[in-house]
Amino acid sequence: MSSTPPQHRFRKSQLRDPKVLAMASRGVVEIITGEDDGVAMLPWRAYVNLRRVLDYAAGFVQLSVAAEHPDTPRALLGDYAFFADFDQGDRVRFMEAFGEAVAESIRLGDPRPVAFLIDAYRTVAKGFTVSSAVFSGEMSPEVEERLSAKVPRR
Amino acid sequence: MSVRRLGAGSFWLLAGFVSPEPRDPWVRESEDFLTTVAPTQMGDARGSTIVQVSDAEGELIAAAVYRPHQRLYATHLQCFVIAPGLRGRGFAQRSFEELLEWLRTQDDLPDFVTWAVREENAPMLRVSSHLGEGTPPASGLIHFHHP
Repeated sequence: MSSTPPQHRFRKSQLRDPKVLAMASRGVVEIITGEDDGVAMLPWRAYVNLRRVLDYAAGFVQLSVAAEHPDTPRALLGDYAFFADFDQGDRVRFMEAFGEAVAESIRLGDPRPVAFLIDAYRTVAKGFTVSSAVFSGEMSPEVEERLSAKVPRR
Repeated sequence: MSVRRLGAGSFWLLAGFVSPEPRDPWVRESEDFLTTVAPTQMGDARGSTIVQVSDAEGELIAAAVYRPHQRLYATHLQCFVIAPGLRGRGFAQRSFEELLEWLRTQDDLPDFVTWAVREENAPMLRVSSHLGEGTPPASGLIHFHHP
């Protein structure tokens, strides 16, 4: 669900019309109440997703402040305690990625972009790794010599 | 087919690259690297970059991770994974060819690409032998290069 304004508006007197609920189950519906503020109806899943996106966005803002204060106690970092173990370079890279993911989650109204990134960082912070020369590119001196001979000159 | 770099906001598209029970251990290893380790290794000049290979309709066919080779003036292709639902259907050869050509022609990357394949990984060895030149096996790996 995107953050675009509601496509459908109904008056309070139309609330018994089944069409209202049908449309609200597919997107955002505004009920005009006659007061200053209307009422919005939206699918429960969309509401939960938006709350989660807001939580992540709040986490991003809190962590941005902590990033400026390296002595922030680990306990205050909450779900982002792994951040305390990062050096300055790691912090900058993480915050850039976190910001990109939060922006995408806000754009989509979907917490998955930022949830995926945070899960990956949290898992690696717990010590998860896959070490293989396939990924690192490490090779024996003999293999390196063979390959070096093939690399075009710059 | 087309290849494009993924930014951190798009890494979640890789969530579908985790198969429930991969038959071969190197498949799980590559999926874990792609979906968990690589997203945390991005960002600086020596860091990794994740790319996706898509078909003309935009469907995700494969994903790969590369970074500058630590010792050679080359791009080291760290992993290449076909989307789980498409495995064994002949997508690897064409998408890997597309990926190598894309890597080789990027202005900001060396035009020499290396990658390593486990000796037991017969499907990837077949694809690699068509598109690259391999060194004799050493420590269970065959190192390939392109061109």
